[in-house]
Order: sequence, then structure tokens, then C-alpha cells
Amino acid sequence: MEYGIIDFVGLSSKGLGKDAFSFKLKKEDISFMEIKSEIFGKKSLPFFKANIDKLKEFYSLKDIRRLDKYARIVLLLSSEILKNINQNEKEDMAVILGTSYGSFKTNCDFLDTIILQGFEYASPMLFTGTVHNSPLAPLGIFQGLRGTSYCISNFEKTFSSSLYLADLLLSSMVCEKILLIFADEISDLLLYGFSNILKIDEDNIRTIPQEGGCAFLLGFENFILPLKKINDFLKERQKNMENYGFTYYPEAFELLINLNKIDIK
Amino acid sequence: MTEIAISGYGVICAQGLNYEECKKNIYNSPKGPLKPKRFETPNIDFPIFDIPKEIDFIFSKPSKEFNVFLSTLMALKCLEEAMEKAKLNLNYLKNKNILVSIGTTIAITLNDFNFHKEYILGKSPENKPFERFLKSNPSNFISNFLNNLNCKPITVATACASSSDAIGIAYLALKEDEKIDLAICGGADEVSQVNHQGFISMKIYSKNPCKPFDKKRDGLNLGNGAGILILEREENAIKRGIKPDIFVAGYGSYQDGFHFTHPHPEGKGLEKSILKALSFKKISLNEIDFINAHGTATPENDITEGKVIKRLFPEGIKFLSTKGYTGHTLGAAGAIEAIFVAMALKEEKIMKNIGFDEMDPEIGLIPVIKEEKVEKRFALSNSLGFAGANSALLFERKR
Repeated sequence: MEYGIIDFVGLSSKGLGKDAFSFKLKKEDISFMEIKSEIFGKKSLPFFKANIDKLKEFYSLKDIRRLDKYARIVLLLSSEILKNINQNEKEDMAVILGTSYGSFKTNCDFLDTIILQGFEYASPMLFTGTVHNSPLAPLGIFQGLRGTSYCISNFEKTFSSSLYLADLLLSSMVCEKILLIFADEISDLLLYGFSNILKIDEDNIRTIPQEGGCAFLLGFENFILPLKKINDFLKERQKNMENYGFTYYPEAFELLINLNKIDIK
Repeated sequence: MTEIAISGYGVICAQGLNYEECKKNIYNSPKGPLKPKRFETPNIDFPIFDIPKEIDFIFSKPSKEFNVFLSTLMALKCLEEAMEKAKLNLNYLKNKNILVSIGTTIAITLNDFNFHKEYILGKSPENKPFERFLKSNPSNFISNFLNNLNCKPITVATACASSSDAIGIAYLALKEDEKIDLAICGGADEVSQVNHQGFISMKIYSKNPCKPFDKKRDGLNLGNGAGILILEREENAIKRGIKPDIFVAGYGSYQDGFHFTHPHPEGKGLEKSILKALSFKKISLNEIDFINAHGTATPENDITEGKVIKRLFPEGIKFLSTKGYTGHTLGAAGAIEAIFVAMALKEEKIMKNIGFDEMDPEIGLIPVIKEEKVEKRFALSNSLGFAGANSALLFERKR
């Protein structure tokens, strides 16, 4: 039996939607994050910040106050793509969350507390967010997703690993539908680390780290692109590398952009 | 039916740097936890299960030259042992399609305390820890080490269920994907300031050796360790002169969707995972000889797991936690324990649940308190993790 992509959505500095990565990025899309170091002094480094304003349309701020931005990105993408899916379908839906840095920022925040305030001030709440799969908890709690759930973190192999796993779960009938999400949050220490190994240049979009992500709903019925044809689909399409910044999974954004270009009947 | 054999295995934990050392200590003179000495902490009264000595050489190369996190280094050392047991060499692997599926929590995070400290204080730390972080991703690193273009790396991050899931994914791949020749799977993890302090701050870290399922249990101890298994179809192993006797026979993994850290109070996700694992072999619950429980020795985990065991299995089912030998090795726990389950099935004797003295009436179960004989073919291993992760692996012994 064949299976493929049923629906898709992206989240970028331009907000949430199928077309989140469908436009060339401009200088005004760049956000800045301050880093402090002996070498740089106080310096602002550029990144493409995800606009998660729409989350408040789905949840009250009180309900999500404990979530870090990484989890909020995942929750927003999933809430949008699943908004017309009924609870029965969601109950056994599998989730594959692909990420490059995962909980990097929350992990830093936890360490910062220890360093600046002392070990006795370590926050148990922050600690619970230091595992890469932490967004899977709110997906279960708020979206009722209780199927087989994975978080995959392989840097440049994140897309291919996650896609392979999705193929495996569907072909072995572990589930009938999969929510496949790619998500990352950018933090200052991450920018500092990258600024030492690649020149982050405001005038070169491809060097500016990208925050945000995209989600795909996969299943056996009403799909618009068979899973087995994704790689061929991407090979045949023009690249859109001016539409997103530095990411370890450009294939995911290319897929999203090109799916948005095709005429879906 | 395709049978998925464990043709090789390597393990590192507080009981030893290889399978034989671990076996000797587990059955004869298990080692306990010690004061943490690898990192700066005021909490030296909270002991960890550290590895007994440093790893000097891996594949004949000084281990320092690899310049990766301890977790990744341990995974590579375990791979060396697993390959030796499976009669594999690097040349043979170069022509194979290999799934490298490794679970971890710490090997994919940047936990270098001094790097953070210098940065947060406005200094300009050397970038080497950041570069080591990028290099240490365990499945990517092993795939690169094997220099094999046909490797498919998957690093699984489902917290403390990571390596059970990594093994489960490898099992599914060998059953479903004919193109995969063999799988290198398992997990590796290490204790850092983050998880050590994190569990202390949650008030679920014991100052004493942990006591899984005991009435007076007061938390876990963390441990360093790794476990790597070579999985392949039985006929492939036989062709190389291996006669496998232990098999991965089923796998299930489900999300609780209940709480960020606590398991579902009735263990719903765990129950579904166990039943799914058994469904691969179409066996009933009373065909299980023993259960390797996750058994972290935290009050909640053991109650939840106890409820599931009591609800599902026949009275008197043998079960144990091996955390008293290894501490909680987080993302490596499922893999290390898979090897311990294989050990018990091979030796036909279940190791005892260290630390148990008195039954908790809330659990109402007594684990294996002295070595017991294995009488049936099947054993089960559970893993639970933060964010509601649950998974179960089914193992089978054949003679």
C-alpha cells in the first residue's frame, strides 16, 4: 500500500502557514540576538526568528507558560496541521520530531542558573525541558497524541533519518498516520559557537541561522505526494535557498516550498 | 518468519568495561556507587555509578585522539566488543547497508560547564567544546568512523527510553527493509552537572545506593555507561559462522500524553507498549519468564510499573530492576539492560534485584531477591522516560 504527504505547514519569521517559506528573505526579516564576549564585546548576531504569535489563538498563555520556545514551535506547528483532525485519529497517530539542537537553549538556561545563582537554585522545571523530546509531552497533553513518538537528532542527517523512520513505521503498519515535525530554537550560545566556525554574515542569508520549522502529516489516504517519491520530487525541483537561513535540514524547507507551488486538487 | 538475532554485543557500565567483566561482577561481587569525581559539584554526597577505569584504546587507537564526549567514546568501545563477538570486521562492513541507531540524552547536548561559565561571564571561551558537541552525535560519529556511505544513522532522543527505542527501530528495520543488512544499535550516556543537579533538584536522587521496588526507596543514582548490539537476520549470522541464541522478538513504544516527567499513574502507555511487543510473536503474557523493569527506585516510577506488572501478568511473575548494578544510565539504560536480559537468558539465571529489603504495600510485589533459574523462552524489558515515553522490548532464547 502506498502512503504519502497529506498536508503540510511551516513556521518562519513571516509566521505560520503553508507559504511560511515561500518568499525570498530580506534584511528586514533578520532579528538580532546579543552575545557578550571579550573578543566581540557586546555584539548582536543575526538570526531568523520564528514568529509564534499565533500560538495564543490556540492556547491561553497560562496553559503554556512553562513551555520553552522550542516546545512552543512544535506545539504551534502541530496545532495548525491537526486542527481539523478528530481526537480518535490523533490518539494513535505517531509523531516523529526531527531537531538539530533540540533543548539546547533550555539546557543553557539550566546551567546558567547553577553558574550565576548556585547549585541550590537549580530549577527542576527547567531541568524537565533539557531533553530533546520534551515537546512530545505537550503534544500528548494538549493535542491528545498518544501513539508511537520519537525525537530524532542527527544534524545534517536529521531529514533523511526522520523520513526513513516514517517510511518504516507506515510500511510496518505501526500506525496509520504520522505527524512529522522539524523544529529548532536559536539561542545566543548557539550563535556564539557557530560564529566561531562559520562567518555569520548579514548580507549572506545562507549563513544566518534559521529558527522555526515545518510539519507534514503523513498517511495512507488522500496524499498529495507519495513518500517514496520525495527524493525524486526534490531532485526535479529548483532550489529555493534564498527563502531560509542556515539549517541542517534544508530538504524539509525545500519540500514545504515546492509542495506549496504544486497545484493540489 | 524473519528472526532478528543478536549476533554481537558490547557493554560498559560500573560493573566493567566489557561483557565478561560485567557478568563476573553482577553474579559475584557487584560494585556500588561512588562520589562523583568527573565534574565540579557541591553535591558529592549524591553518588554515581561510574565506569571502573578509563578507556585507553579503541580499535588500537588512543581514545583521547577521538576527541568526543565520554558517551560517544563508550559507544565506540562497545562497538569494538560487539563486532568481535559477531565476527565482523571493518572491511566486511564497508560493503553492507547498515542502520546505526543509537539512543542518548547527553551526547547531543552541550554540557561543558567551563565553556558555559566563561561565556556567561562575558569571556570568549575556546570553541573546542562546541566543535566536540557537533562531532559527538553518536550515530553520525559511528557512521563516519565506519567510513561507510551506506550507513543510515539515526540518533534517538526519547529521554530514558532512547536506547530501547533505538533497538526497536533497528528491529523494525531488519523485519521490514530488505535493503538493510545489519544494524548497530543501542545507547550511550553519561552523568553531567545538568542531569546530576537536575535529579537532585527534583528531589528524586538518593544519597544511598538505590533500592528499586523497596518500601524505603528514596530515589535514583545516575550512572555512566553504554551498550551496543549487532542485530541481523539469523541466516546472515549463520553464514558467518555465528550460531545466535538470543533474539529480539518484539517491540512496542507509546506515549503517555499525561505529564512532562511523571508516568501515567496507571501506566497506560507502558501497558500498550508491552502488549504491542508481545503481538509480534503472538504470545500470551504467561509465556514471559521474567521482566526487566525500568525500576529507577523513584517512588512514582516503581509504583506505576508495579501496577502494570500486577494488572497484566500472572501472579508470581519474576521481575527485577538492574539499576542497583548500573545506576540509571538514562539514554543508555535500555541497551545495557537488553544485554543484561540476554545475559540472564544465556546463563539461564536471573540476577537479583539489588537493594530490595522490604515490600512496599503500595506496590504489593516482591522482585527477584536471589538468583533464579530461567525456565521459559521469553523475557521482557521496559523503559520509561521524561515527556511520557514508554517502550518495551521482547527477547527470546533459542537452543
